[in-house]
Amino acid sequence: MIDFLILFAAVLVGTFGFTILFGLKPKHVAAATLLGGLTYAVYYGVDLLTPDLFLSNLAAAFFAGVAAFGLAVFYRAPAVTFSALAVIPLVPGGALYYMMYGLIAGDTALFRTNSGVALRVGLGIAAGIVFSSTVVGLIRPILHRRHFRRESAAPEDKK
Amino acid sequence: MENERSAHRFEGETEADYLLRTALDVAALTLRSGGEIHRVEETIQRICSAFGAAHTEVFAIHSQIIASVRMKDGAYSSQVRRIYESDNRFARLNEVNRISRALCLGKMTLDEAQDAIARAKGINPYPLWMNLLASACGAGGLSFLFGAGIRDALCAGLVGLLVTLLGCLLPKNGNVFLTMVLRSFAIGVLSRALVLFGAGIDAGKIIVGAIMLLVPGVSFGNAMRDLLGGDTLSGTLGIVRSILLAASIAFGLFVATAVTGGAVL
Repeated sequence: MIDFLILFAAVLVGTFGFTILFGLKPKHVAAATLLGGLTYAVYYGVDLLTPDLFLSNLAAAFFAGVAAFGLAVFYRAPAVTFSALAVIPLVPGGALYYMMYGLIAGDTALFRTNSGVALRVGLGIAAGIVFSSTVVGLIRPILHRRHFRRESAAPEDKK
Repeated sequence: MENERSAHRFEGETEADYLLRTALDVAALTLRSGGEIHRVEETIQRICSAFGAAHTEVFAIHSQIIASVRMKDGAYSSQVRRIYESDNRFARLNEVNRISRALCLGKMTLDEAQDAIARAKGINPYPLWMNLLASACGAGGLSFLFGAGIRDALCAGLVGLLVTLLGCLLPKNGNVFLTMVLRSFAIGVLSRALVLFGAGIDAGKIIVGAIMLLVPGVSFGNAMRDLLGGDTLSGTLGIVRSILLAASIAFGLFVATAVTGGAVL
């Protein structure tokens, strides 16, 4: 549990840094930072249940996509400004780097191992976001009918 | 659409030309600020429809937008916009989205949109020192995910801060791959130096934390999403670009390894 809390705090610090680097509006920073932390918590929880990189990243990205849509509706901002930041802790930065390093250094084993990891994580994140788009596409018309009929003229809040 | 000649219209520009140019200005700024391909295409289509277009066609990839519009009176315009650089600038994306929405709802004229676009281009909510501190937070915080301890995380934060500062000093219009090589080279040398001076413990963990600032993870994820979502060309181009950027980073670190005379991993 303590390990998780340390990682959760580290993810909050890291995601906060990226909210500034990505020039997010100041009033959106706290929500986006918390969403990054919660996305990692989902990843961590699913990874405990089933240590499969694809599934844990898919579940976390799905959560990030749906939650980002909720925040986008609340703040009337593009959902991508939240979802792109939420999945930062999932990004296979290390695997991508080791993969290319293995390729350049001629270390075939390093390249093979990490390219598999990068691909599984990347596909998991992408599939999670695509699935969340499908769910959002189903609930969007209901929300718009109730509250945002006029706003639907603009391409907002769509993943 | 306004009938009187507006201040922003060029000599000889028809209403269809002006409408499409403004829609392209909004869409191009959306793309340059980190907006998705489908958002760019929808933006043009909806703005043109809101201003009386009978038919609009758009094709966008990360480096180019091609669009044509036919008005109800038969007037026709076709334009191309080349996108040379794009970055994640979400406050600006938010503002461009607001302009797009206002245009579609009829709350803004094309002239007002041109003024708003000019203002939006200058949006930058954070000063340099905040970006430097944010780099330290981003690199230091995420290095924990790769197994770094507190000392290595602090070193990763310091390296991240210095490399962001280096990025500010490099020419803005320089080759993006060469810039990546230089910045990753700096990460390799600085990380190794911090370990040699006893500040850090594991140069590899410092490096992986710091390169999170450079790794094209978001664009890689977006490209995969484009690919799965049916935008095959955008997705493929995005993945190729991400791989080339990752290769540039790896090459810079590989050179740093050779220069420092030891394995930085």
